[in-house]
Amino acid sequence: MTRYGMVIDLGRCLACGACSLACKSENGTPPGVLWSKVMIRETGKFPATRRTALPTQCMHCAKAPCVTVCPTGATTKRADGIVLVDYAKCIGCKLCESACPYGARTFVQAIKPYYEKYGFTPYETLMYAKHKAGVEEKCTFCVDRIAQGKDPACVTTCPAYARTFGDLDDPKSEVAKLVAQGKTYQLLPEQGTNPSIYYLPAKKPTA
Amino acid sequence: MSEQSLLPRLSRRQFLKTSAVATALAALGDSLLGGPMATLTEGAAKEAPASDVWIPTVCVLCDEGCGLLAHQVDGVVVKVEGNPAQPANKGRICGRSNGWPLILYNPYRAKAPLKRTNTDKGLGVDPKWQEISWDEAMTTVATKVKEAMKKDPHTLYLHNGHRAARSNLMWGSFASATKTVNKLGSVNWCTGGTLHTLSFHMNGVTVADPEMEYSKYHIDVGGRFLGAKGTPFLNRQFAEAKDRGIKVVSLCPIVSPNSPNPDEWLPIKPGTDAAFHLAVANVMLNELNRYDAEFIKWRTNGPYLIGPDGLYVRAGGPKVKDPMRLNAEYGPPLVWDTDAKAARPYNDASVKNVALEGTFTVNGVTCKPSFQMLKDHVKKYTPEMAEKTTDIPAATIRRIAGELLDAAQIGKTITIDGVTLPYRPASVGFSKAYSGSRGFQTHLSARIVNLLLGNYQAPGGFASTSQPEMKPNPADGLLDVSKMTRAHEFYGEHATWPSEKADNSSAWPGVYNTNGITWYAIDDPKKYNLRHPPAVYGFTGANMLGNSTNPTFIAGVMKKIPFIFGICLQLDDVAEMCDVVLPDHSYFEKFYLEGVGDPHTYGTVDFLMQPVVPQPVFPGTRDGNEIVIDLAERCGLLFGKGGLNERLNSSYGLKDKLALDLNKRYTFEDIMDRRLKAAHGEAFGLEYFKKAGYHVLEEGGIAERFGVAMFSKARIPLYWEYMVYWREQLRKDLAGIKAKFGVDVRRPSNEAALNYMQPLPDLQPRPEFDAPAEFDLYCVHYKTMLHSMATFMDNAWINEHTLNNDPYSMRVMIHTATAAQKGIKTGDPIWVEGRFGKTKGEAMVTELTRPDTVAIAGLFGASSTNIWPPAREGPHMNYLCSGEEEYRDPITGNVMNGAKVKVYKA
Repeated sequence: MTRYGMVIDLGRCLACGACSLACKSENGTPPGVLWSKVMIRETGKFPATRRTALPTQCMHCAKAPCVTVCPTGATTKRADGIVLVDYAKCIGCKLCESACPYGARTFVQAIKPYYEKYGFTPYETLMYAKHKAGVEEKCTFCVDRIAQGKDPACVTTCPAYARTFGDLDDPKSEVAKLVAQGKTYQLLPEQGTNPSIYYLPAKKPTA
Repeated sequence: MSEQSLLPRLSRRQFLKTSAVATALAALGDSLLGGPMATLTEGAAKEAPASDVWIPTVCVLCDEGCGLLAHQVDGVVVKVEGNPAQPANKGRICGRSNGWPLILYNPYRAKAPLKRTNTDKGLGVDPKWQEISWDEAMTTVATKVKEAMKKDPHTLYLHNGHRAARSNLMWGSFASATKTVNKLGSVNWCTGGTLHTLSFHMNGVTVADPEMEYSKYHIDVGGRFLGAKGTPFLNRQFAEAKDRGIKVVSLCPIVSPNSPNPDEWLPIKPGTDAAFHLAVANVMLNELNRYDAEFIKWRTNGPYLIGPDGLYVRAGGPKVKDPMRLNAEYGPPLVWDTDAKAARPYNDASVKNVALEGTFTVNGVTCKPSFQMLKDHVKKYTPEMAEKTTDIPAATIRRIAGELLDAAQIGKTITIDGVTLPYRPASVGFSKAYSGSRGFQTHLSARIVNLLLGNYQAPGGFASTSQPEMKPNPADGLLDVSKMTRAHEFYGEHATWPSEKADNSSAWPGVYNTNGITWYAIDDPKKYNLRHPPAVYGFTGANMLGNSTNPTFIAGVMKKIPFIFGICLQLDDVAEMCDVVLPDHSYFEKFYLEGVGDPHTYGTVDFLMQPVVPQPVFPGTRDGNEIVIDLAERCGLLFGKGGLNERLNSSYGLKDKLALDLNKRYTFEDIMDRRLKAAHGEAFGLEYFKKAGYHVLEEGGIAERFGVAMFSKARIPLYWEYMVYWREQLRKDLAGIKAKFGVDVRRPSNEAALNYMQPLPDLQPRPEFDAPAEFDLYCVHYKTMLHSMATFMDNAWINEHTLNNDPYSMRVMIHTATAAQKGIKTGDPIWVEGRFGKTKGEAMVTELTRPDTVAIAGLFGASSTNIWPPAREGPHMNYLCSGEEEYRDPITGNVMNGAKVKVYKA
């Protein structure tokens, strides 16, 4: 079986935002819809403090609560582990949004232009055809890129090579090897979702 | 399963029939300015062929030059990815590059020629633009330029932006053709003054920085590891260094986003870095007695004997012309030969051992090796003294000095590709960390620590970022930089008065950052003895109100200029001061050539920037280069001797059949084709580049990369003796002017400027921090990777990402305890007020800054009334700063970049 997954090395991540912007450009998500995020926060007290960055997106959980709660069958999990939303079936009830512990989903209120005064740009005109108001959206692991044998856009652009994508079920894949090393962790393991995105920790400062 | 959830890629015509968006589009009226955008609805009626292509081009959003592939579907750019062929970015791109589609299609761009109808000018004053024809716009501008040239060409003030914004290659030659001396560069905030000057003299190159591929230990000064740009190349090197286990110590008043996950943070007091560096040097020299002695002896002027006048003690006998001292003739500097116990010329091949320490008498003159002078000089910088100044504990300073030396592994070598090199994988400070009103001496103090580590041009050390090209100066053996591009810095001209140039740059030893003084001279022509007040200010790619100190003041000065025009991509702050705006193509609609260094071989690759859309997005725009060619013709500056064509033949090396006929007008595309063929050969013209995207101009190897092949015999100044020489030259010049005209050309006084010209650096008090007690906090400025320049404020994707993900960068960072004292909470609107102005922003209460320091990122807070409105949000550091000479580095002209402020709720 194939189970697509990703390892994000927080020791390499520089919080530059390239992943988030590449996602915007690749998927043409409308204003207010961010499939890929980089949460910048801090820990500790001065001077033993540091800035932290956590890139997040849909975790494509093995046990995805969004799939379970969806009343119409719009959210499904493919055999390769990718969780997708069928916009035609989505009724916008937002149950999935509440069920997702990772805040990965966004309800598309309306599709508006970024530069509202001037209307849709040619880019938006073309790209917003892939989106629909009144439905829930989230990261698809760039499913059409995968179909072409490419990595997701966030992986391809990452200047720090912090992201590795591949088949978690294939022991020869880079992602499987990284997970097998035992240093990775998943977000909110207590939720029992078994996410397909794993993280390598940032190195702790000595001071 | 549910793959159908993603709508299939439709052809353009299918899409227009089915999409709800198309309906919305049809409802759109014409855009306010420039008529309708070239939208799909407009194109739908035409039978344009369907297309799906990837077009190679190059990014110019910063000076890195990343290779791009633009994905164009049916004439619309839908995605930009990195070009794997580019050696620096290897197919990766940063967040800003990913934002290209919004830059190209930004409907707030300048879309048609405009003239203002509001005679009132000022920051935030709507010019009330009126669209005019190209002919009217060009006639108006040409008439004003011709009038000015007829009266006095020096009243033309022509401003060229930073390289990253300077795609209008014709502008510089046009400015030269007018013969004005008042050609301005957009380098007000730039670190260039110190960065380039020190890099020329110490690495033989425009930019030298810590070499990260082999580094094991780095002190990141000012949180500038990623150069505030986060380019793919820097990010990759940083990440790989982290993997190797590099130790990074961040020396910065805040935890900087450009120094991610440092192993140790040293929250230094703003403006005191020189004390830290000199204390580290003191520990190495006077406590541990550890440094790279062989390097100091044979690769620097450390053993050169210095007399009581601060100058070299030289041998008599045959004299040699010194190109760095107006070709005056000198004997060679002397060193002390410890075997012969006598002074010998530095280049005497019989000398096998030289003294670095001691006091000697040569020909009756008491002298010391310059190394001994350094050792004595830094004695006062005890770690205890530095602790009081910097707030970094003395024990930490001692530990850091030891760690640096251990990591530098003095004496070790490494063999790379068969070339054996010194291996010193430890360094202090990226070059771009040192700006500010005393940046030169601060930077030099860090350079001294690097010299003691012997890390110059060494793997893991401090190395050039492109091929060094320097040879030894025959007169003293040091790097001869007199032939370099900016050779006039430190040598080459005497101070003149009254000066033709508005900024009086001849009275400065370095001129890179003096341009900004021009505005003060225009404001008070009597004080500055301004000879040629501006009749016309013209600019391209230079937002003086976005990237300059005190925008309120500069806008006030601009109001006094009779006519202003700009070749503008955006209707930004400075565009609003224009009488006429000439709308430029975006970088994705025009040609440009970017020479990019291969960071691994230091060869050079030329990358072509080319149009990636079939026609301009806004039909009312023109390529800025075509605008300049047209303007040159209308002003009588295109043809004949001294015209634009002749200048292009000269600067691009166009000869024989490639040469431009001096009396014929060419398209910019044709000129580019000739330029490429001249540089790369007949087969590598524009057609070749359009398809391939790039061509290797020069191959390089490891010897070129570390400069072994280029200047192994040239020495590096440990002691800046020619600073003493040029100080005395300048002293004479300034005294002569004062005797004749009764004025101090320099401010606050000639003496203050001259005293700063030291051969060895000191901690210098920063005038910007010498403020009344009511200004109780420091304010520092930092850049973020996504907002490295003003041009990113109005990219809606970048703006949205920042607002959603980064709670710091569009706000004012203030420490928890300080905020509590002042009753400020996160999200509160606050004023940050200094002596020169104030700026408003939301507070972000944090532990990531010193309690006495607030921090503002940038750039935000545009003033333009015609820019995308969210770009006007956020605090703007520049309002807190002055560009007056008193607040500039007296050598280089770098402006103040911190302030003392008070903070209160708005």
